[in-house]
Amino acid sequence: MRSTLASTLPTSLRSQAWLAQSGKAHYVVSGEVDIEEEASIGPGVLLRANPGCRIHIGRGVCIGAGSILHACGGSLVVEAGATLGRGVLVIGQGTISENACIGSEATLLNCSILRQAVIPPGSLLGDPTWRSEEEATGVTQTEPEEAERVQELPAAPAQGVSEAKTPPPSPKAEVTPQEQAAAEPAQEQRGAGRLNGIPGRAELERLLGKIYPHRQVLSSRDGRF
Amino acid sequence: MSTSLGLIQTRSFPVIVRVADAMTKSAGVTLIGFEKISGGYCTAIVRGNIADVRIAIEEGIEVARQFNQEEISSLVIPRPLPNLEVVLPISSKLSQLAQSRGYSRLSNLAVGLLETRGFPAMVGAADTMLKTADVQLAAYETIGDGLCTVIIRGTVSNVAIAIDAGMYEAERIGELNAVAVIPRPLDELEQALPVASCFVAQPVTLPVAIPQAQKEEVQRSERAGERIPVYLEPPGTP
Repeated sequence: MRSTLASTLPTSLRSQAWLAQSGKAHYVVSGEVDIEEEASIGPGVLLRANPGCRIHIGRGVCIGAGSILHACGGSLVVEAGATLGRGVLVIGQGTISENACIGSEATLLNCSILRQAVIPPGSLLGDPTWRSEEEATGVTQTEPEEAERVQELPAAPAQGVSEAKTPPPSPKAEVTPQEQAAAEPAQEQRGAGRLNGIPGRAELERLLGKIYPHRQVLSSRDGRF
Repeated sequence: MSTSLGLIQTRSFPVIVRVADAMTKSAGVTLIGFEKISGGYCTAIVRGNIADVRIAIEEGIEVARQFNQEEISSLVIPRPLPNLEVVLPISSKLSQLAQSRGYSRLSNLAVGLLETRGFPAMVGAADTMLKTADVQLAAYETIGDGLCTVIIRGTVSNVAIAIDAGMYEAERIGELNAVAVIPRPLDELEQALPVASCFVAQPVTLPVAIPQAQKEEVQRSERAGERIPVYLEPPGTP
């Protein structure tokens, strides 16, 4: 899978990605990942962009060891000067703005972080149910092993929710705008997935699937709408 | 009439129509009609033998649950008293009234229902549906609580594609509440659904030839009408 992805990349990107991998760093790049100069990436970092998605790592970004950045459903941008701690998990789309600081072992699900924001360690941001909705529509065609991993996801952050609710060490005034920023993409996602909860939608989809067996391929784009 | 009575109530018109479709196809029950009190509450009324009614109501509840309806209330009365039938609209007179309204030109076609909260979304969705596929807009129905349902008729594939397109348009304009597609409705269900008056073909009375007494024309003889020139001789001429 990875080799096929790499073969579809533009040559400049591919050479950059492979240089980074074969050189001093010990991290893995897969898909369309664009890393600017002077970005420091720790060992064991996994940067993965799904087909049609993009990861952009800005200038001077610092990503701690063992972090995972997985772009799906859009582009994931880490702007200049942002710092991600050890073991940070970022999934979905969104922007981590300039000079933001993400504490270690935080999980960001499909959300954006404001400038200069400080996220406490071990916190969970974003809607934990977003992935399962997208999964139901079949918008992203994931590999079987990925699908397994995704299904484990909603169970794991359930503990993180309680941790996030405990008063963070940082001043509260800073936390509220972050949470707003985190809530906005989550609402957008819910707006797109809202059609799934409409009574009769599932039955209609089954009917359309029977009438037009190849329709899923043609209209997979409007599922995001 | 000693047949049993079954009632099932949901909070959406497409859902109750779909439930009624499942009920009429699951057992030998007669669909009496839909009772729409305001607030979005719709009730389907079926009559039949007690075993049939029980099967139908169980089936209806199952379908309603599949449609994410939380508030389902249902009732089976094995033998309702005549007084109940006289006062409440649960007797089969209702369906007789419905049958006497004329023949719908849109029968034997699939039914599509799309319910929105708010009128503009419904109109927008109806417009999109008509422009998307070869369907006819049969009627619309309001059930209170801001819910209005547009009913389209056409072949199954046309209806399915139209509802799919209308769904996105309704969601863009306002709030979509429910959709349903019934590929082949039974006659009873069709008669219980509203149809706009422009699609109802009233029975036309054929012209009957009544023998009418025709006046006999008096035949004049040819000679009677013949004018004979008369020349009068002036007096005094030899």
